[in-house]
Amino acid sequence: MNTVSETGYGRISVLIPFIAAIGALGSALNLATGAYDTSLLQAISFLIQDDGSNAAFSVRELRLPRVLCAFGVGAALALSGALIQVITRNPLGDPGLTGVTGGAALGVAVCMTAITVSPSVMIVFGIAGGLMAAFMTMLIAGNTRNRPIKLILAGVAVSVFCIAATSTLMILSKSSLQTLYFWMIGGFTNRGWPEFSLFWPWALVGALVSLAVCPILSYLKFDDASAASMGLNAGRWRVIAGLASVVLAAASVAVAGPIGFIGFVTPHLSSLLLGRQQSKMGLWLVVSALVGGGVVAWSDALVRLVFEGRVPAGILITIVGGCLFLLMARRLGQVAR
Amino acid sequence: MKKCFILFVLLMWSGVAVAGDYPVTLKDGRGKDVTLSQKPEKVAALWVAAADLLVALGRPVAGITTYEGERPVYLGKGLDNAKDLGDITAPNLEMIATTDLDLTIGMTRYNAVYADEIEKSGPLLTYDAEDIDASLKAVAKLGRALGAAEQADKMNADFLALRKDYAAKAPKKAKSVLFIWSYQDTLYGYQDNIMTAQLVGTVGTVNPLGRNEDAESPDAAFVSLEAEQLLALDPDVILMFVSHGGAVKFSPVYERLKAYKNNKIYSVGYQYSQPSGPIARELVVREAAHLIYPDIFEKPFMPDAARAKPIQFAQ
Amino acid sequence: MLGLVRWFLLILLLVLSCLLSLRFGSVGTDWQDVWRLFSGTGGAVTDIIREYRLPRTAAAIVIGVYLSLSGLIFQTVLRNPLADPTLFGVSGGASLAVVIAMGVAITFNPSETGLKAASSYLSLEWIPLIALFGGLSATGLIFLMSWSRGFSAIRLILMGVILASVLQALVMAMVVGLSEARTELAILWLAGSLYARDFSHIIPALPWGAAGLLLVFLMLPQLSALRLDALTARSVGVSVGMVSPVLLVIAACFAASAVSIAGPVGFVGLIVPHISRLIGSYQMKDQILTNMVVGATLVIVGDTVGRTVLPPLEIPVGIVTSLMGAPVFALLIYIGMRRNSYA
Repeated sequence: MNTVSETGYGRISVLIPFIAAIGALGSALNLATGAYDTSLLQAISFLIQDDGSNAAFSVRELRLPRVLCAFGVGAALALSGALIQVITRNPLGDPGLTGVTGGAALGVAVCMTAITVSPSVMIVFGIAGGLMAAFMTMLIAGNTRNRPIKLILAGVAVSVFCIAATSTLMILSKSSLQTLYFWMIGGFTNRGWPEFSLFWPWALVGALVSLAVCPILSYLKFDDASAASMGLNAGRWRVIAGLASVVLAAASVAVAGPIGFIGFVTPHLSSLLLGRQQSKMGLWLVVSALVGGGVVAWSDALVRLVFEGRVPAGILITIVGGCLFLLMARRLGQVAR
Repeated sequence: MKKCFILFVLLMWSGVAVAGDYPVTLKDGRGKDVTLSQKPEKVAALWVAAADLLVALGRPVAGITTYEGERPVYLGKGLDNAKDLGDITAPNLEMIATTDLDLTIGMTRYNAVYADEIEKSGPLLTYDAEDIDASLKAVAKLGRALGAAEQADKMNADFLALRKDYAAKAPKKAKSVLFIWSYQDTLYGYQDNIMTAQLVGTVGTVNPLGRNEDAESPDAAFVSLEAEQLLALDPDVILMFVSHGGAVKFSPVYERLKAYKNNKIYSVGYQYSQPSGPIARELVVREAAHLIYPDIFEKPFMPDAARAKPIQFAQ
Repeated sequence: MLGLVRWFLLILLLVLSCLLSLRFGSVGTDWQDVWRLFSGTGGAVTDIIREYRLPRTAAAIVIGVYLSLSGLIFQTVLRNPLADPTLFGVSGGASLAVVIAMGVAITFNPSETGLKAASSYLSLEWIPLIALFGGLSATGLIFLMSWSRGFSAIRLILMGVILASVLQALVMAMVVGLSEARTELAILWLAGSLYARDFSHIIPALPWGAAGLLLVFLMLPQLSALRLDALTARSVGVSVGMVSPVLLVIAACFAASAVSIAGPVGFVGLIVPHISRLIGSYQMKDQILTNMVVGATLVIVGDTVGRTVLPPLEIPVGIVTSLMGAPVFALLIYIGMRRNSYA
């Protein structure tokens, strides 16, 4: 018994730095690519010291916030997906499939077409839309214990409605649907400090709340009765964790557009990586966030290196994530039944 | 050599078309032979350049399409009586049919797919003109279709003369000028294959993005710009078409640009986005030249709504 | 007697919606113009009705019939009231195939000259076949993914919904990524629109539907038996394992043919069978016929609303039906949850 947990800890002490290093490498690569030729070392040295050159300005003021946005959005979506999977006890939870991203997209579209294009207001509308959609999904699905499919179906209903409503809005406001499609794919082109400074407070609050409730989450994962026996009001904690997950997802959507399937794929990937240790809730959440951030940072770097920025990062993530989703869903679907 | 031959044949053949008035037969952008039995009086334009030519000829425009709800304001009062026929990608067929048209002029790019439906209510000609050569050819052909071949040819000749004149007057030390089409975070820099960049470059300016030799068609010759690329290119003048109108998203990068420091970033009118008509192309050449070298080239006469303005950034 | 009255009302509703769709549009016409269409004494305005509105009405009828039949078969065979060709990935598969084909057509025919630009679009005759191929591939993939010592209806739906959302994302990615400069037409098609649809669009999709309809009526006893549980069905001599896949392929053909005409039009297949169950009798033949009439009526109304609310602009019929259908879908899930009967 003792040896098992020891090897487990041994594995973790290697695993976390390893995942973090991969994520950091992707981010660094992203930091070093751009119109100005900078080596990895140069880029990092510019972070420490600003020599006033345009290259240093690019690294500090343009690439750094973009990299932070990419990593942050990836981590936030992964956390959001992980929280949804725990509180609904549903291995297929994903902010996209539960309607949150659709709702956030609708909120942002309402703001964009009818009110203002100011990013700070847009993010609030995005979160409001996401919350509304999440509420609707929950209301429709009700208690989804042992019936994961109902949550998915309710989420599909909500997100299809939100997308149709967004399309109608775009037509009524005489914007082309092409614009909507462009936005619906998601990416990080020309996202800078203004976006990141709007994003991080929401993301940080969401992340802190999810880490704070994680001891309780591990009880929620099993059933409400055992949670109640520990003197916990399961429903209340579920709502708190749910709110955190919606805030995380909606803030990400408001910054980067809806990026598909990251929230579903990364928690499962981190379960695979953690093996036996996945039952440790806090660890699982942290690893999920790191993996999510790393995946998005790498995708954005690859898109820049291979396609020279002509393809938004969201496309690569959606295609890879969608295929992984299909592969995993087969296995999980059988479990879920 | 082969191109010269094709041009020669085209010239010969169009010459024939001029000679015998109506009926006139034209090969349009779809490669289809369209015969007009008499001079068309009521003409609708699903393509801005066609409306432009009609206005330039002093003829009425029966109907026009919109882009994101906007009409080409640079045509001013010429469009006052034109009926709104809907969105540029999906013009309203019923309204085209009720306008009782002699001729509809469309874009091959959008209208060729459902050309049959438009042809139910009369003859249809479609063209695309994404560079100057194509614009010259389309204007010449449309001139023939409208029974104003000589006037259209003169417009083409005047335009070429104008370009020559402006190019000669331009200072020897060339400035670098970049044209950008923008929608929120997306900035597309046009390369020299595209007509707008060619027009802006009339006065011998350098396009920092150069020409795209690999582009299969002119409309693929653009670069999705990151703010950092803008900094690396650092052009003297930036002309930006803001597709959703209003203010442009601010980036700290602008403060480092020569163009920003010298107040040389302009938000330009609709004619830069659709510059193939005779009025639009002339206005673009004249206005861009004035914006780039205000000491040498005069401010052109045009509707104020279509004039370039110093760009405004959203806070 | 009651049956007759019901049929009379249903047909009346269909005829009325057809007439309304002929009467209203983006330009003003009156009933006399519609009348002239039938009496053959047309003028210019009647030409508009004949050339533009009549084909759209016909297309709406075909799509409504196809999609609602497809939904009915899916729901009966999978014994799940939430099945729908759009949610089930069939429309997504068909859309993806068509969008890929559009992209390939553009890539292999760069529009260097105007002549090539015109030919770089897909020709109409191919679209139904490509859509059919995509729709059937998606159905096959769903079966492949849900196979685990037999098919469970719930697993099929789950995989269908997941595949549909993945396909939807892939279609968007293709549209934005593949042909960046020429996306507008693909987008118009993907919204599920009847804009500029003509009889030439409808006719290529008719043989598939006629064959499907014939097969459905031939397999009527089996289809009725499938409404019972598998054991009972077997006891009346229907081999569920054999019949179900055949019927699902037919349903996929219906859906893909509808997609080939108008692009994906969502939720018609989901809600129409429920409406017809509410008003129809228990007889399968009755249900199928009611279904066809209601489906046609629904799509006609959706298209008419979409093109009359905001002339000269148009809201695609697919968006209108999604706006109407999604709340009904939500309600069905909600009721199902209360009764704990479905899913």
